[in-house]
Amino acid sequence: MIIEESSNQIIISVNPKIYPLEAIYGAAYVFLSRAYIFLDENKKKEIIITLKSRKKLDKKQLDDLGGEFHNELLNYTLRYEISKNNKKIREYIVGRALIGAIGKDGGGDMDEEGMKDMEEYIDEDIEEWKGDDLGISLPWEKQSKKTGKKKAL
Amino acid sequence: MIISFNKRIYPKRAINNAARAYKDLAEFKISEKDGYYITKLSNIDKDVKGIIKDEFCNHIISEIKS
Repeated sequence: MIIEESSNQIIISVNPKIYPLEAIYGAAYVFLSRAYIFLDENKKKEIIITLKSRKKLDKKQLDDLGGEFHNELLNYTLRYEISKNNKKIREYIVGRALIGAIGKDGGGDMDEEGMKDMEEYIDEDIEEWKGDDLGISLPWEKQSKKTGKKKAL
Repeated sequence: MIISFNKRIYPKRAINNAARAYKDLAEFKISEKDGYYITKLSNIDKDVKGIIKDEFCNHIISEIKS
């Protein structure tokens, strides 16, 4: 991180393989009210982030601003990774909700066979989905069958 | 005034949208050269001359996120 006190700005270079561009956009967006932000790329394919504070800051304050930006960058990177890993399960939940809505309205355009096909398709999707350590992708009906528990009213 | 936006970082849609939002403050001409979108600002409103560049860059980031 380079601090340029005279021009009231800091220059941060980050590796896009570690911090994806989406995370950089997210962190930059959070800082829009505090700083003017400009992004570029250097010859090493690193992303160069220039943060020019809206208020006049001393060296220590500029250093703090850079530190806070790094934290936000980490925050957004984690959020991005979680969102990427949970894509399948989110799609599954929406799929289930849509099927549920069709059922309540008396089936809609989908007949019983179509519903079965859709459920099988979603079940295949779940099988493909990896990294479900907590077992949340398994429908509660199946979990109940496994454990032999009865549905609580 | 010229601002160069790296093509790998700044989507053209965001630059165009920001230019449209700022059309009352300056005239914008966008071209492409060596991996950059070259944005030329002319006839800049004198009230915003000192800050338009920085504010325009920030506006593009907000466009990217929206």
